[in-house]
Amino acid sequence: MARTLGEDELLTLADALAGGGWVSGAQLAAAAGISREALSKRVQKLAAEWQLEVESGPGRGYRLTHPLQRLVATTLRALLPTLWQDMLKVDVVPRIDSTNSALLARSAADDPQVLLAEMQTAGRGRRGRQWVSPFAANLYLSLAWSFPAWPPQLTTLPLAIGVACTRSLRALGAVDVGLKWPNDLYANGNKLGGILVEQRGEATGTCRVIIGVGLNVAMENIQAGGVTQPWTTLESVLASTALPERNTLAAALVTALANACQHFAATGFASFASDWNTFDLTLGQAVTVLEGDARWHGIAQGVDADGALRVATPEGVRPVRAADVSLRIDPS
Amino acid sequence: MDLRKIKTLIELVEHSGITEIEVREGEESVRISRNTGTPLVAPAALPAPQYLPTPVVSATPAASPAPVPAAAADSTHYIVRSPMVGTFYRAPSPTEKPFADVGQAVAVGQTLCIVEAMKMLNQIDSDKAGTIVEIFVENGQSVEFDQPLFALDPA
Repeated sequence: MARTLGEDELLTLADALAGGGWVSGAQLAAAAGISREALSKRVQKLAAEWQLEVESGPGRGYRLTHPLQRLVATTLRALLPTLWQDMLKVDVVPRIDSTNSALLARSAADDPQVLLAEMQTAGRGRRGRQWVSPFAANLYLSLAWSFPAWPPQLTTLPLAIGVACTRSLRALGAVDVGLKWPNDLYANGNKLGGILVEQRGEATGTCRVIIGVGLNVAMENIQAGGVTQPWTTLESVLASTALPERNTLAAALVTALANACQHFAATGFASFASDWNTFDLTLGQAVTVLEGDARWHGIAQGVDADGALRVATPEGVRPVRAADVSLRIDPS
Repeated sequence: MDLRKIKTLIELVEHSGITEIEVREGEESVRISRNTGTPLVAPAALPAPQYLPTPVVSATPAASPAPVPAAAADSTHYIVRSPMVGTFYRAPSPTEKPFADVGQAVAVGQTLCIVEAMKMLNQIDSDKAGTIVEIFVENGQSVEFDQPLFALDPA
């Protein structure tokens, strides 16, 4: 991973301010061994490049408007079930292009492995769409998993992962979280998270998948420049319940993903299909399906055993499984 | 161009006496031709989009001149097939350049395309070194399991 100049310095500064209390400029400058002017520039960089809101007060110094909880690999690992503590390699990096790209490039010899980043500089969704990934505001994590043989119904894995994430978030109290086919995480009509499953290779031998999850946790409006659709955060969805500590939340999601892969290898989509339909936000609703240049309408009727979305049209039920399909819930 | 439109054109050609039709729409053009007399693949090198027994479709951007036809796939060519049902993409995103083009030399492990199904994106890498002589599928089309995607002239 290419390090940007000053990344370590910015990280040190972010950590010094993480608690959210006022820290004097003199103290910060002395700790970093730089002048007050250099510190001021560094603070500006933290705001501009890492999208952290920093307040400055005469005689008081600097503070972050929103305190940070940092991810720590050892802490996170200790929160996993024993099985995954033993089996999963867990890495946390402050900044990376994309956790999926990084794991795609890493050796499968270390699978299963998880990579979490505090910030992604080229976070992505499907077809090169950008995933906005401000520093320590949300969760950006990927799991690399090697199945010894191609599981049957491999294309339903993204749906199974969507079910696993939804179960996990609902268990934390976010009862309004649901799925939009195939696996977008939504709550109250707004996007909460996205899942991108990638794979490399041929139809023979081991099957390695990289499962990326981006979950909006506590992102502020000011950090969400570039988000092109209505979005929400886990913090808002939980409303009355306190947001779990970030490492605890990350450990819950990592556990959910690893368990899902294990179950999927054994049972395929069968143990997920019923929950998918329970979590389905489009069930019985009028939807518009965009397939390439074609656009048609129907009533969504849940998924079949192959993970295809069943859409009722006047000509009968049409299963939707092609990839380039966007689904818009029609205004009722 | 809309696949349905192309399908309609094919039906039009099928049910009429004509052997060839070319339709231009903006920057794209589609030519559908048929000739029931010629075998599907000639033993010797056959200029690419030519007369085949059933209507075939060749879509090329009207802005650029048609490329010199590459030799059609024959038995000496290595065929890269789709490992799954899905949608075929030649580039990582709609705004980026294709991973690989006809005439390009590719190495083992080099990415050729992406096949996507239900938001699972499968990056297809070449398992042979060689030169791409033909790409059988248009960007954005759906492909079946085992459907030929690329023909390589092995290095």
